[in-house]
Amino acid sequence: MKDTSKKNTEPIKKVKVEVVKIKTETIPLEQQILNFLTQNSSLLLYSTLILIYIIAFSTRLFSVLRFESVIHEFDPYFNFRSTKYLVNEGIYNFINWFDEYSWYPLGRIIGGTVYPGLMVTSAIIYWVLNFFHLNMKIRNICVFLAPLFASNTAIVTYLFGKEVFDKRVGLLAAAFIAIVPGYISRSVAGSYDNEGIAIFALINTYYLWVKAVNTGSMFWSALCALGYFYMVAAWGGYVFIINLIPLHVIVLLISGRYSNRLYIAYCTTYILGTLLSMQISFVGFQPVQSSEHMAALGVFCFLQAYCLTNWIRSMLTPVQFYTLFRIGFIFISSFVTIALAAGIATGYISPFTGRFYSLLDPTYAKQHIPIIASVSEHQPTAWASYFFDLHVLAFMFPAGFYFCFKNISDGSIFLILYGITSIYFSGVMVRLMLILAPIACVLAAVGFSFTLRAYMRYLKSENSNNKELPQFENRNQIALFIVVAITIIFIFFTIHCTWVTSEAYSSPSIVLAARGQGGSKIIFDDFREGYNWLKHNTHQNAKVMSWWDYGYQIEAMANRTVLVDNNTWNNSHIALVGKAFASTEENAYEIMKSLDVDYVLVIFGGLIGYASDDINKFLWMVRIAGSTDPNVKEADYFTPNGEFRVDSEGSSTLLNSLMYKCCYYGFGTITTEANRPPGYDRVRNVEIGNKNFELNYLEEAFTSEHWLVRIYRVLPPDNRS
Amino acid sequence: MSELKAVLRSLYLEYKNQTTSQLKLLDFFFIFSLIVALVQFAYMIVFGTFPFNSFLSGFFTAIGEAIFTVSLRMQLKRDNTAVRPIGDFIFCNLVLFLAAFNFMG
Repeated sequence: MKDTSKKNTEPIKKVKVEVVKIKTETIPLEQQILNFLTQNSSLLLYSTLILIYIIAFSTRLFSVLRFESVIHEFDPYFNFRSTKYLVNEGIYNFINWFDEYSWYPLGRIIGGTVYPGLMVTSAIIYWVLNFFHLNMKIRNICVFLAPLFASNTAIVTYLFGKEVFDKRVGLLAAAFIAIVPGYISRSVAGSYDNEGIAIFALINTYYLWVKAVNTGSMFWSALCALGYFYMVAAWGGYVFIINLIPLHVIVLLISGRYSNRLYIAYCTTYILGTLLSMQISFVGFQPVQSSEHMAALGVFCFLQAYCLTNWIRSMLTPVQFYTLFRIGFIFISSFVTIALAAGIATGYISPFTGRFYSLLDPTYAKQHIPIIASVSEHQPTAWASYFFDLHVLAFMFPAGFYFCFKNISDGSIFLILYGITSIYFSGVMVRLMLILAPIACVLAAVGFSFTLRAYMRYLKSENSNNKELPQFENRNQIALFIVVAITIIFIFFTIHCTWVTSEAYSSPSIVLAARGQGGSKIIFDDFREGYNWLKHNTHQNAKVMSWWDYGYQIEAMANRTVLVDNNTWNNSHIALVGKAFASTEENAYEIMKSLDVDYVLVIFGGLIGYASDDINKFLWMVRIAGSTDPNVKEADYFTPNGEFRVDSEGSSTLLNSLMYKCCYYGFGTITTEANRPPGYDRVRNVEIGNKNFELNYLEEAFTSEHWLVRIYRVLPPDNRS
Repeated sequence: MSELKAVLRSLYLEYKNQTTSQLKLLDFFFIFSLIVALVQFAYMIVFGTFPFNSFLSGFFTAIGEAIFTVSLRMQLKRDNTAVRPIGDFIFCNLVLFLAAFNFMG
């Protein structure tokens, strides 16, 4: 119907309707899959992260599958005992715990000398699970805590990589850190030690710090301070954080990258972090008194001055600002110098402790503090360890530096600084390879990611005619080759990591295994046999004298009082025990009587060839004893040629020492290998020199099945002396 | 000396021009926190450090408030109407006072 109204005088537009035929092609299967993956990229991301989480947990379970769910090594036994105490007695008794079972006449204030983070974490998990009536034994929680936190570390590393660069770097970094051997060595199932949660807390704090600097928000800075508090509760290595973050701030200031975000992030984190860190009794007032924390305070004050100067400069002309600045600078700098000089002169600011000084000067410990030098983990790192612990990450690490410099930002400067400092410290001590592992993962991920990025572009079909990409000969083939080569490198990395985990880092140390003649597996469970003998056959108040390595295990498994343990807080007490072991039986008896010793425990590996026994540690006992008592001379225990021998050529001081007699009592009649004389020591590979002697002041109480653990009872004095 | 006075005077005038009343309130609170910190420090010097943890918690609270105020001022100067920085300020204060009360003893 035509509209004849007068209002509408416009001609009706004719619209041409076209019928367009839609071509329905069937999309090929590969294209369908690619479309699905690119449109659901978050599905791919989350499923990869879940896989990484599962792998990080399961690769650490070798020793649980091969042996049993048992706590490994030495330090974890102390942590386990403390966790049991916390769960049974409550948090108040734990914080105020004075332990009379260790360091016999002295005791140890555990509440004030331990980092409670690990125990509290386990206790919280235990209480939460028990609240839901999922009754899991505390031992199993302790054994599996480290793998759980390793999985969490992988997730936090993903967030860290994502914050500094993007998701691709984050994913690669998470995948690397899930399996890298440098981290696995301290976080297998059963290794219930501070490092298990400390690395998680470390990466968490660094992630929150970079997030705070990037956003300039006080909320993220407060979260960073809370993360730092968890790190302080977890491990003594928190000093690394409180020195790296101020270093980062200084470098940003020097490179002209000051911004309000940096000021907000650092000042908020410093104030809240320092106040929170002093809540831990072990840290106490160190954050405002010790030299290790002064750098953070100094940068804090300097940043205030810098910010104030900037603000005043924004309000004045340059001439006016210069006059004000000149006077102010002289005044402030003289004030600061006087305050600093007064602090150091009066001793209010304490100098570096030996532990940290030995990090800066690696030769310090060998000359001055033998106990620190004697720990095998504190030796300098060999070149082979870098490849063993990092494999291909060690090679892509410098590539990561290059790409960080090319794509410079506040976050990438932080990565560079963290990388440089951790390389130096990991060279000082093998133990600090642990600090290097996370940053090696992130930087290698940066290197790999940017390399892959550059070449993957050529493999996309829509880019085949793209003229914006750099053009060179055979680019498609070269790109394909590079991508395939890197994939093969990843495969080799995975094979290496799994092999290393299985062979090197999954031994419980408390249980040894070996292959017998026909390939059958022999288990040496002597340690637990010896400690359980002590637990069941000695009276409750018995005091056991052994070298400090075994202190924690004796306390935890045998539940008896020990003289010295792995805490090594009292050097002269350890030196006294060392002197007892190094003296003749008669002199040692005097020392043992003065310390109320009832039993002596030694570890002897000569029967089965166990190389970490007390005779091999003996020289360290002599050195430590000699550091406090000048009568004990290390040279007396060597032959005139300067060799350490236990056969008939050995020095007589050595052959008559208490340690020698305790280890080799009754050994002279044992034939250990065919074609060898009786009394052949399978570790030193010699026939021992002093056989068939009698003990006058001790009597043999127990020797375990393979002679690993030998326990002696100290005889009471004669009625008529 | 006279040129120093002139510089300070021009600084003061420029400051008066630049700041809104909202920011001036924050500045007064900042000066107040600093004075509280100074009073605590002077007390510590005169009467000794005996409960050192109490001194530290009070001193850190005052300095912390000053820092938070400055941070809030920086964020509000950029954008007057923003509400998020105020929320962050409250959260940081919560954490600060929680730690300080636990530490005071």
